[in-house]
Amino acid sequence: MILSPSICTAGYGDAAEVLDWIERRRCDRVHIDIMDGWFVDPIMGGTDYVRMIRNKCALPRELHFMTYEPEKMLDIYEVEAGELIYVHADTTQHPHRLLQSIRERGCIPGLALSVYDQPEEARELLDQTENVLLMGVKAGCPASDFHWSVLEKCAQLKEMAKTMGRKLHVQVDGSVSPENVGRLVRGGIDAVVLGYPGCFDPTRGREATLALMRQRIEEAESEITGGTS
Amino acid sequence: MDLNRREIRLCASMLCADAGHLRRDIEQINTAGVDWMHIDVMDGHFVPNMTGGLDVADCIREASAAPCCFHLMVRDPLRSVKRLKLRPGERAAFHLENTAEPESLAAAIRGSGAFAGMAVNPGTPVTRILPHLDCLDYLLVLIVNPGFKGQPMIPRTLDKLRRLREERDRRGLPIRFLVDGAVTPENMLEIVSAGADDLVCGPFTCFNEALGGIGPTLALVKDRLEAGGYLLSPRAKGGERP
Repeated sequence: MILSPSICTAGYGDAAEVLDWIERRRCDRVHIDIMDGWFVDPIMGGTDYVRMIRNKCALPRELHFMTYEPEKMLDIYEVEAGELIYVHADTTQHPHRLLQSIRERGCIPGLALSVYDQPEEARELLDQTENVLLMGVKAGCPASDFHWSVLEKCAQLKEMAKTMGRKLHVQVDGSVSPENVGRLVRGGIDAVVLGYPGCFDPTRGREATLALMRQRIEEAESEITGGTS
Repeated sequence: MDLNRREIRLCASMLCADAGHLRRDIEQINTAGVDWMHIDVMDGHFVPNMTGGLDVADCIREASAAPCCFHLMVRDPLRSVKRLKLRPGERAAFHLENTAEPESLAAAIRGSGAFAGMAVNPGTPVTRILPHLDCLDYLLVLIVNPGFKGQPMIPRTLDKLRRLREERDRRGLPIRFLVDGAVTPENMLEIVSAGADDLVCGPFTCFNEALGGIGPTLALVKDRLEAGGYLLSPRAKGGERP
C-alpha cells in the first residue's frame, strides 16, 4: 500500500518541517491538492507553495488538480517530468487529449473520479492512464462522510482495464483513517492519500496516527496472504 | 496639495514570504511592526497564477499581530468574500473587471465590518473607477499588472494615482490609497508623493535578503519615510528596530 500524506492538511505555519517529517517517516509520495474556488469551493495549493515543496522534498509528488481549465494549469504550475498529475474529466471538454498531453510532458497522467462519478465515465479514458484516484468524500469537503462505493468502483475499473489488457493502479483520497484502511486494503486499493484522520490527526498526533495506519495495513495485508507475512 | 505629514501605513506582502517557514516570517514581521498583512488571493482564472486561500489566510490570522488586507484576484470575488469570513478591521479589494455589481460587493465586505476596496489595474480607465468612489474605503492602485511579484513599475501608473487622488480631494472623500507592486526603497518616496497612503512591501521593501532580511528592510523603509517628513502609525512604530 502506497502512502501519500496530503501536505495541505498539515497546516501552513511550518510546511518545511512537515515535509522533512514525511520524508523521515519514509512515506512514499506527497499529495498536493490544487483548488481554484470554481470547480470546488476552496482556493488552495498556490504555485509558490508547490515550488517550495519541489525544492524541499525529494519524494515523488502527486498534483491533484481540482480546477476548471486544467490545460492552462499545467502551464501555470510548470508541471515537471515524473509528477503524477490527477485531473477530473468533467473539468475539460477534452479529457482524453488532456491525459495525452500530460504524458507528452513526461508526467504520469492520472484520472480522478469524484464521489458521484461512475466507473463507466472512465471507460473511454483508460487507454491513456494507469492511475485512477477515487474520491472517498466530496472534493473540497474533507470532513464529509466516507463513501464506501470506492470499493465497488475499484473492482469495476480494474475489471474494465483487464479486458483492455491493462493494469490499473487505484488510489483513494478523502477521510482514509486507521479505522477504515483495513477494508480498503482487502478491497484491492493500491494507494491512499492521508489527510487529518490518516496522518495529521491533532488529537492522536501524527506519529501515533501514522504508526497505527501502518499497523492496520500490515494486519490486513497479512490477512490477505493468509498470515504468512 | 500638501501631502507631507501624512501617516503612511505599511502592508507586508505575504505572497513574498517563505511558504516553507510562514510562521517564522510572520513572527519577524510582528517584531518589526506593520499595519497590515497583505494577502493576495489568486484563482488561476482572473490572473494566470494561483495562491492559497482561506487555509493560508487563517494561518496568517492566527499568528499575526496585524489585521489582514486581501487582494481578490479571482473570477468570483463575492464567493471569496463569503468564504474568507472577513473580520472587523480587515480589508478586501476586488477588481471592477470581475464584478458587475461593485456596490453590492462593497456592501457585502462592509457588512462583515471590514473595509471595502477596489483594485485598479494599469489598464483600468480612471473614468470607470470614479462613479464608485462613494461606496469604497480605499483604492488599491497597481503599478504592475497583477499576478506576479518582482515586476518592474509601470511609471505612468503614478499619473493615474495622482488623478485619482485629485478627484478624492476635490470630492472630500475619506478614501485611502494603497499602492501595490514594485515598491522599492528607491521609488517609495516618489510613490508616496504621488498620493499613496499605504504601501505593499514585497520583495524589495520587506523580504529583501540583500538588505538583511525582514527586520532591517522594514526599518530602512520606515527611516526613509520619516526622513521624508511622513509619519508612521503607532503599530508600525511599535515594532522593535533591529
